[in-house]
Parts: sequence; C-alpha cells; structure tokens
Amino acid sequence: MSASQGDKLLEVHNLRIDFEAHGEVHKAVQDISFSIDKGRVLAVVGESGSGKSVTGLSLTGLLPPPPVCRVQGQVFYQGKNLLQCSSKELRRYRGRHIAYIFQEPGTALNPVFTIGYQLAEAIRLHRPEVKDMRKEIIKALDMVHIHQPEKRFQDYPHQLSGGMQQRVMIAMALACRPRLLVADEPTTALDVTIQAQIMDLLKEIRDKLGMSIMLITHNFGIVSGFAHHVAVMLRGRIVEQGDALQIMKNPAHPYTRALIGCIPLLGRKLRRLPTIESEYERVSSESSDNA
Amino acid sequence: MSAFHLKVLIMHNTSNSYSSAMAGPETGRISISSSPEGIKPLLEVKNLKVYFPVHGGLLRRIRGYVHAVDDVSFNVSSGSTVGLVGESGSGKTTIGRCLVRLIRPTAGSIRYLGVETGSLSKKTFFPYRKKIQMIFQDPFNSLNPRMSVEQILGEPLSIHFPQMNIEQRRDRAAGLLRQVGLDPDHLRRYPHQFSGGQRQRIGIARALAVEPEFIICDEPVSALDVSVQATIINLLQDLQEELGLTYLFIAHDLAIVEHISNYVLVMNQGKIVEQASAEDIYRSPQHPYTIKLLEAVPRL
Ligand SMILES: Nc1ncnc2c1ncn2[C@@H]1O[C@H](COP(=O)(O)OP(=O)(O)OP(=O)(O)O)[C@@H](O)[C@H]1O
Ligand SMILES: Nc1ncnc2c1ncn2[C@@H]1O[C@H](COP(=O)(O)OP(=O)(O)OP(=O)(O)O)[C@@H](O)[C@H]1O
Ligand SMILES: [Mg+2]
Ligand SMILES: [Mg+2]
Repeated sequence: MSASQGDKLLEVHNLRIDFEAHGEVHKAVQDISFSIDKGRVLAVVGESGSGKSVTGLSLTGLLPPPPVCRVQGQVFYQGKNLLQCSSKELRRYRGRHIAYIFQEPGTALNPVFTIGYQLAEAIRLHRPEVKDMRKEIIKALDMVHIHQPEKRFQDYPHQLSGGMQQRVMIAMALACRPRLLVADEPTTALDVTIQAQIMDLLKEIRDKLGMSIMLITHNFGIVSGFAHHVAVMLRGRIVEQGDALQIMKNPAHPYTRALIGCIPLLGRKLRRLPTIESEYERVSSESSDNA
Repeated sequence: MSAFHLKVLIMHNTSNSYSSAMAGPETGRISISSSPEGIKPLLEVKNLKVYFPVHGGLLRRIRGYVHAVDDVSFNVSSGSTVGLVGESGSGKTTIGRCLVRLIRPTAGSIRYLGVETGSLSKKTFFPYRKKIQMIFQDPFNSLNPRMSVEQILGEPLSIHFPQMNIEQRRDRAAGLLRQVGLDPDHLRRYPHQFSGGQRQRIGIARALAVEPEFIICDEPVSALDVSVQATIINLLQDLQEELGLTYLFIAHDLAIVEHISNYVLVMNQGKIVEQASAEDIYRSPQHPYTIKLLEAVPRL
C-alpha cells in the first residue's frame, strides 16, 4: 500500500518508553517507528506485555510523568510533535483528534455517573451542535447493539455486563468523531457475533468519516479483512511490519509465523494447545529443514 | 405452560438418579448428563433466578426488573469442566457471582456437595470461600490498587493457611507467578504497573493460591495472546489432572471452550437454551443462537 507522504496522519519515530520501578529501569518500548495514513487501519499485534498499550497511551501523554515513565522519540500528528506539547495542548488533541477505546473498560468509565450522563458529556464537548441529547445517546447505544437502550442509559457502569461496558466505551469514543481512533483490544469481551457487528460498525465509521484506526489486538482473526497494515511487536520491538495481506499470507519473522500457528481453531483436536515456545521450535526446525 | 410442566416432570423424574437429563423445551434435545449415573454432582443448581431492579426517572424509583438469570438449572460433576457460553449480557457472570455468594439469588437453590450454600450464614460459608474460587472477568476492578502483588497473593494465603509464615507465603506467591508466565521478581509491583494481560494472570494466580476445588473461570484468557492463552489453558488442564479440580469455564471463544470442556451450557437472555456434551454441541447444534455462534467461528 503505497501512500504518498501527504497522506500521513501520524508518524512515530524512534519511540522509546522506559518505566522506573523499585530502582530498576524497565524498557517497555525500544526504538520503534511506524506511521498511519488517513483513513487507514494499522493493526498492532503481539504478545502480552510487549508494549502495545503503552505505545498507544504515549501518543497523547497518557502515561505517568517522569521519573516513573520516560518517553523519548517523536510523535508527529498532522506535522506537530505531540511529545513536545504541554499537557494543556494535549488535552485539546484527546477525544476530538485522537480518541481511545481503552483495553479495560473499568479504567475508562466513571463509576459514579450513569452511562447516559457520561455519553452526554462526550457528545456535548465534541459536538456542541447536537440538539436532542436523549435521542443522540440512545442512538449511540443502539449503534453498539445494547438491547433496549432507552431502558439502559440510566444504568451505572457496575450494572452492566463486561461486554456491555466495553460497548459503551466504544460508543463514547465514537461519539467524539475522532480523526484517529486507538482501539486497544476493543472486542475482547464480545462473542463472535457481536464482535463482527462492532468491526462492521468501525469499518462503516472509518469510511464515512475517513477515520484512521490503530487497532491493538492479540486476535489475528479480526486483523484480516480490516487492517491495511500490520506491526508485530515482541518484547518492546517491532519485529515485522508491512502490508496486512502480505504478512498474513507470508509471515517473514518466525515469531509472526508462530503467532498465526497458535490460533486455536474449532475442530482441531489437540490434547495440549501449542505455545509460542513449542510452536517456535516447530517453526524454526521446519525452516532449518527447508534451508 | 406445557413446556413448564414438561420441565418440572423431567426434573422430578431425574432427581432420584442424579442424572441431570433435561429436555430443553426450546430445542427438544434430551441431553446426556454431565455426571455419571449414581454419582452425586459437585454442584447442583436448580431453578436459579436473579432479578435486578431497574431504576429510572428523577427519583430513581424501581421501574422494572432485569431478568439477568431466569430459571436456570445445571449440574457440574467433580473433576469435569463445564463450558458456559452465550451472548454478552446473557447472565453468565451473574451465575458465577451467585456461586461465590457475591450475589444473593432471587430464587432457586445452589448445592455444593449436597449442602445448600445459598442459605448458609457468612460464618458457615467460610470454608467454601477457600474451596470455591472465581477468576474475575474484569481484572482491573478485581485487584486492589493499593496492594502489591505479594500482598494480593499473600492475603488469601494468610486467611486460609494461617500456619504459613511470610517466607512460605512469598515462595508460594513467586511460584504462582512463574506458573502463569510472569516474572517472580515482580512481586513488589502494584497492579497498575502491569499490562492488561499480565493483570488478568495475576487474577488467575490469586484464584489458584488457596488450592481450591472448584474454580469459576470468567473469561480467564480473553485478554491474552494465543501463546500465553495456551500456557494458561495447559496449566488449568494439568492442575485438573493432578488435583482433580473442577471448572465452570465462561468464555466466548468457542474453539477454547471446545478444547477444554466436557459439557457445554449455552445461555441466551438469562436462560440456558441448550446443554449437551461438547462434542454434541459442536457436531449438531440445535438452538438458533448456538448455530449462529458456530457459523461465525473460523474453522480448520
Ligand atoms: N507503570 C508501569 N511501571 C512499570 N512497568 C510498566 C508500567 N506499565 C506497564 N509496564 C510494563 O510495560 C510493558 C508493556 O506494557 P503494555 O501494557 O504496553 O503491554 P501490552 O502489549 O499492551 O500487553 P497486553 O496484551 O497484556 O495488554 C509490560 O511488561 C508492563 O509490565
Ligand atoms: N449489579 C447489577 N445491577 C443491575 N443489573 C445488573 C447487575 N449485574 C448485572 N446486571 C445485568 O444482568 C444482565 C446479565 O449480566 P452478566 O454480567 O451476568 O452478563 P454476561 O453473560 O456475563 O455478559 P458478558 O459476556 O458481556 O460479560 C445484564 O443485562 C446486566 O446489565
Ligand atoms: Mg495491553
Ligand atoms: Mg460477564
């Protein structure tokens, strides 16, 4: 997918993220670079703890301040380096420009306000032109397939199931009409049928608004047919990135191959599930056979 | 009406043999029992109902009820894994929370080894707090942010194994971290210093800490990449083989459920719409919701 220089919405150069805990420095992200074009989807996949979420959070200064966390490198959003913005400036970018679907809904929803109230706040802040707020809230909840939204919008977050909380958060992020959506594991709590509906919804909004998406996921199943580009992360580094179809069909790095090989499928009767370690051995011995 | 009578009849017929043959009136399937003939199941849930009030209006008066769990019955036999799948909001977590007594059911009975645990006082329920553990769906809200991992894993140990000293507790905690694929050096860290998938694994370690008999696993691997997922599933299966653990496994990933379960319950809108052995469910699903679920899954 060759996009000209002018199409780039986000360009990240040599990003490093270090955490300091108990006198030790933990290098969560080590020198990664990637970019996202307008209207395009970049999927960031990788193992648990490889640095996917902190990369997303670093874009708008959502990580703890130094000395706990140090972020280095450059994050150009529409040509402006966000890493050099003041926290006041960054607040203007959050939501309207870059909105988040956080990995854990519990971190994003405020327990003391009803979900209707929280949605209304997001809508009022980013789309002041909306007149009929109640109608807009119900529409937003209906879009993410909450049954009987007119009955549920006065619920508090704890009154919703895990998957419902996740969908409310998606509705809140989309209500901002962002240019870039950072969707961190957006469908982990949803079964395949609702997952497919949510992915369709994201596609629809992407096309309608020309929104770009950074999709963070461990699920290769939702990458295919949705992402244009893929970046594969392993222990703080991007080990492979490029065209999504190409990588799915022809993964170059043994870790990517192992990751695809580990996906449990229906009807594959196994006594034990393969782990990367076991799969890695299989894949690397295969490739040395081929050599 | 007639469906209701049929259900009552069947329940009555089978209550002697303990084989939980139930005709799902919605599907007409006569399912086989999850527990062998004559052996008392570890857990018997009968006609469980949980209704939550819905408040509304300015004064937040009760305007109606959410029928989160609506007349649900099933058995779990010792040493088995029962998978629980169903649409988001269908009542899966609510059932789990009833079993560990975080929620009082509106009606129905829950028997653990024949003892009606629903009606026990807080004090008499105490031994069951150790025997029955739950891995929570939402790790962020289920881990105390002010406690280090060592404290999170050590606290249940100090309650249920008062004879352990602090070194023994620390050793056990470090061992648990290793088992779930985390660095034992991270005992001093606090929950916010971990990634989402790492937090989920701390929740798993905490449930395993007190050597339970029965674990309700509520979406235990949903945030994990396939490899760590496999590590956890393999660990759960090893523990089951070694120690005879029993699991109620709530998940939306049907491939994982098929892999780990002997028996599967399918929920839709508060009701169990289908229950059968894992093989039967996957080979010949009966209920439209089950069929829809299976159709949407990638296969080999
Ligand atoms: N506040 C913190 N202090 C110290 N280390 C941290 C902190 N926050 C995150 N980390 C570490 O940084 C690494 C990357 O975390 P991140 O949340 O980005 O992982 P992830 O790729 O999103 O994983 P997952 O798939 O499990 O969510 C992890 O090893 C984590 O333990
Ligand atoms: N404390 C509560 N107060 C009011 N309603 C509740 C409460 N807890 C759950 N509910 C409602 O009960 C229903 C079942 O919720 P539950 O959490 O059991 O669903 P679930 O099957 O676990 O869904 P998911 O797959 O999304 O986690 C939902 O409609 C939910 O909103
Ligand atoms: Mg993450
Ligand atoms: Mg749930």
